Amino acid sequence: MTGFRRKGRGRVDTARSVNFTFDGKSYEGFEGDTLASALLANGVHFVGRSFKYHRPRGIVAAGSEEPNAIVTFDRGEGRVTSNVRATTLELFDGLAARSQNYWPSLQFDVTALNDLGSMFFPAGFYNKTFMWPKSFWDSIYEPAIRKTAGLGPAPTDPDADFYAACYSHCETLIIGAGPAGLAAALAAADAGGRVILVDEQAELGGSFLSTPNIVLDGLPAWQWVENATAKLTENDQVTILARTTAIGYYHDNFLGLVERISDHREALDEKQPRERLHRVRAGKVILAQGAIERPLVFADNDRPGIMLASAAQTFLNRYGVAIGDNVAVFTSHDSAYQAAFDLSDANTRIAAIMDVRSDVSAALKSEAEKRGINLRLNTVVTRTTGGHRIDGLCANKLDGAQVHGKSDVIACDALLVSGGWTPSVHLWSHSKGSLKWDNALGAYLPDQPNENAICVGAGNGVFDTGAAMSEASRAGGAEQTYDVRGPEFVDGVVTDAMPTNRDASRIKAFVDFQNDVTAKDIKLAVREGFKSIEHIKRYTTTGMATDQGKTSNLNGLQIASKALSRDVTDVGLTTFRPPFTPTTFGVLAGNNDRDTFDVARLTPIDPWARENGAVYEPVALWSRARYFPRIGEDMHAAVNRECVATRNSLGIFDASTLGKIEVVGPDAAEFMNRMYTNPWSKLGVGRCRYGLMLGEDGFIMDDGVVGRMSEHRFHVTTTTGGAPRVLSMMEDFLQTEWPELDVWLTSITEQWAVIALNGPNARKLIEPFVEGIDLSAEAFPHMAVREGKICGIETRLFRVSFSGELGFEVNVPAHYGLGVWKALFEAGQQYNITPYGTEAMHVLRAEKGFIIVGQDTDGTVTPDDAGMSWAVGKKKKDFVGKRSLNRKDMIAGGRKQLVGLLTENPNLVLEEGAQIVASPDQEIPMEMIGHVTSSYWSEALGRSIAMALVKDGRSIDGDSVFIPMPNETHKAVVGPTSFYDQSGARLDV
Amino acid sequence: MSDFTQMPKLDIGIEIPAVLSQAPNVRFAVLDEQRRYVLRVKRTHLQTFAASMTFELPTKIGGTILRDGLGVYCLGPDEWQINADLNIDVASKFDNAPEPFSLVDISHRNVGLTIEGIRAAKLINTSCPLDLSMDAFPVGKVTRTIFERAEITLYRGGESHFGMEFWRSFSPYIMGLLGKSVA
Repeated sequence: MTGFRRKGRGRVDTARSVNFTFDGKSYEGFEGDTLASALLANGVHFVGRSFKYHRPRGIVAAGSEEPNAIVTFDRGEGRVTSNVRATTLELFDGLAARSQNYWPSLQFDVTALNDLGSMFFPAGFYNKTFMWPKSFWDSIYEPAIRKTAGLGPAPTDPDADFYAACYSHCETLIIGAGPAGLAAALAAADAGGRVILVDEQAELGGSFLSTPNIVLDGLPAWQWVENATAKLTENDQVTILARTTAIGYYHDNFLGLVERISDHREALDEKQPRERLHRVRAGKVILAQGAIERPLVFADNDRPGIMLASAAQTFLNRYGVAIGDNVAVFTSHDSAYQAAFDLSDANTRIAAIMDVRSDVSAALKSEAEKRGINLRLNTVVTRTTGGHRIDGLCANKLDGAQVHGKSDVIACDALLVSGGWTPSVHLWSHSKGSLKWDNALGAYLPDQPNENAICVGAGNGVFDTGAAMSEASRAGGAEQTYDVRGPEFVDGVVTDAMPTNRDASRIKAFVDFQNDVTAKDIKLAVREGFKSIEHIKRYTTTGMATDQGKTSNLNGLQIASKALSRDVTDVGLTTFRPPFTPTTFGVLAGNNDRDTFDVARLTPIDPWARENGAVYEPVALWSRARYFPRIGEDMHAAVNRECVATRNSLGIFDASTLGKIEVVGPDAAEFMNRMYTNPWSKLGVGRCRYGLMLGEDGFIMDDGVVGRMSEHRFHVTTTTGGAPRVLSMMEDFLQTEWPELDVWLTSITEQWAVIALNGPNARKLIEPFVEGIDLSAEAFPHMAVREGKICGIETRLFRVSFSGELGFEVNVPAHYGLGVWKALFEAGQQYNITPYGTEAMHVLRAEKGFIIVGQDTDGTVTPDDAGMSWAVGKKKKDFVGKRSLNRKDMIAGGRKQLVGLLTENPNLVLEEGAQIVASPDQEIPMEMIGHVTSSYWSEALGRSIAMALVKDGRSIDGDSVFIPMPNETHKAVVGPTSFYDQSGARLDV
Repeated sequence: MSDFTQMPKLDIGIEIPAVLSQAPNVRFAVLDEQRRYVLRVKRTHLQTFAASMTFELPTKIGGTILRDGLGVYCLGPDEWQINADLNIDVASKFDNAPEPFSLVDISHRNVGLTIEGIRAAKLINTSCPLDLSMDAFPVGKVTRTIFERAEITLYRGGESHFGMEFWRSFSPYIMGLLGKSVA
């Protein structure tokens, strides 16, 4: 191990070394390290290049707020994750990671020339430059920009992992297991009820893990954490979730937590999910998320080796890694001193502490003096030097706001910075809790809650550990006070961009490291007229990277506020949005991937269709058999055969997916009168009627055959896809408009399997199987329904037809659907019974001119447009949509009407959706008068047929229209929509 | 009349996959075929209606009465589901019931499972958002709820014993989710 590990420091297991690679080079670390701590232990600071200027970048933080050190984590095919923060990536043996955003190599990057030409890349550069010509944006500018800018590449292989999800409930949910979170959890556990304690890190303890010198109730911090953890673990009401990030806080105390399960494990268990999404509903939420240290904004503050002071303290005390041999400190806040003192105590030379303040406490001065540290008050850093790592800096004295021209050059190999602390109010803000500005902290603090939530500790602006823990205990329902001893320094001043003696327009003082936004960019945005931080943010992109500005937002706000000479509160605050940290798509999908991506509904007869080689198509959530090809057949041939067999003898079709609603009650007929355009009162028991349903807008919404089973009972069918919305709309009207009606709706879609038999031999087939129903044409006419038995099973037998042939729809209870189908299919062999799918069904109905809602209608078609005025009860007082049908535009001329089309070339099948023009001899763009809605080859007619919606279509019967399609314009003649057996003789048997 | 000899076979269309039958600390079983009805009666008519019944209707939403092979579940203010053994003629019990009401046969619309064992609640919670603690969801409670994107009806028969019903075609989805979660 190199000289950066400090013996006796840190919590890593120095007995267990692990090997890992970074950019292909092998290194050694210890169990308990993160990638960042292990790289630092190996003296590696330079880990990536920046987004826009491709400047060398190092590790800035030690936690999830890290803006710079984002790497690609590669576990092999299907397991490559870009933009992973090196500071949260736990080390295991064999871990492989690589840096991002360079070409051809991290050390030598051609696009770093952007940095030299940076005066040509001001804020809003892309908006300003790539405006013209407009057509270039999609094809040239955007792809090129995306290639050179941007972070790690998106993965190309399918995700090899799976993800899990669950719901949990608790009385108290505590986010953050630092000192305050632990104190809250101990209190809540004592108070009773279920407690969930969440921390994004691998271990509980939060800041205590980085401050071992603190003594709490007589115990060293680490010992106290261990005891507290043990006590919570013993309590079976407490669930501890480490490595779990609360990503979002939603309505009514509903939170999303992402638990990382396998990313830190050396061996992958195929049965374990990679991550689990916990969807938690909590009675009370205690937010103990702590605070994030702010960087300082000064020239070249982004060189590798420049790091937050608290991060250096964490790397030393938690991981046993000193971040350099000769470390300088630049601060506006006390807290940086402790990091310097800890490093000094661990045998690292402190080059100097430069404090922007004119004075600090006597305690700090004496501690610095004790360690022989060169303390420079009233001092700012005006320049840093070094290539891939800082090697020195210029320190200048301050005289008020003026910076002296004379610089002291100080050599160093690392620079700690601290600009104070920003309480983490992200989740509080997700929950719509209000914020108030605290001038002393230079930060927003939680104010009024919007949920049953409370912020405690540093996240609430309480930086004294004892006070924070006592407050947290109260939040958890106890009155425990904590006696905390240890070095705690909480004073500081709030700064914006550091003053400099250099030309501010020629330096780069970074605010947002990840999106490469400088103080200069924000000032430029202000000069160009932006006044709200919401606009400044979007113009400069500050705070818009994957870190969401965790380290940059407040600095950006201060700089904008000063440039505008307005109070921070007048400049505004950008919105915090979930997720708190970048989250995998996999875990957001949770349970909904692969075979459970969505509900895939199958009919009771599906096993037979599968065995018999059906080709499927999705229809709403259903998978339906589209056609049944025989060997060597394509769809066209199979569908032709299926259609011919049905028209000549007998076809069998699975219609189980039809929506079915049982409408029952003394007011059933009245309800039907109101919902459908047709009249229902006089429909006899045992008879059926085609029902047409409109939306309130008067446009066709659904249709289906309805059978009257008894005086007060209707068996309503709907389209397959329309079933849920029809039932919802019916319930909506019933519950909100007509609660006085005594009628109830029950979905029976899945109660009944439906076997449709069509063809001249349909009656002959079922005759021997049917009991209790007279099947003769006189006793059981077309559009009738009877109850009896088929194959010994109860049936609702409908005599209906969607094909124009003699047809029966055999409804049997679903669990018998497959058995009855098989029995009928076997018996049907003598009639060459032919199973057909949805495609043949479509052709057969189109030959008859029967519409399909959603294909021949598109939500703008009235009954009259569809040529179905016959379905509208003229004498009815009212029905849903009636009023709309009388509106001016609905009865005006020029509406598109459904007509039939026969192409001049009978072999040509028009494209569905093709536009129609009256004459091809027009200038482009031509006037389009309609479009083709349905178009098929009709084997029965030996030619193509089509239906179309055409402007005033019925008035141009016999005229020619033209359909421009790729390569050629086709001529067709307008006619009636029914093409086959127009007299209906085939039904009348 | 009919010349067929064999009754068509019953196919409930739901099977317990190996991943579930082999899972530790939880047992799954498919509910046998049974009669199921949806009963709808307005609250204003309930007293008169209930007085004519030979069995009791629970009046509290979520309430259940299981007696003599009959399970009566109150799913909504005016909605009950009645499950019964096959040998019970449920429909005839309503022959003399006073109108208005609605009784609809859904015996084959629904299928179901029992899930038993110390992992049962946790497993159901992988996809169902309800609080299944004994306080919030005590023994005897029934409710209509969701299982990810499928609707289910959930009943608690014991601290670690649940019944779950859903529409027939949702079973591949629900069994898939359970299989994924049990691993």
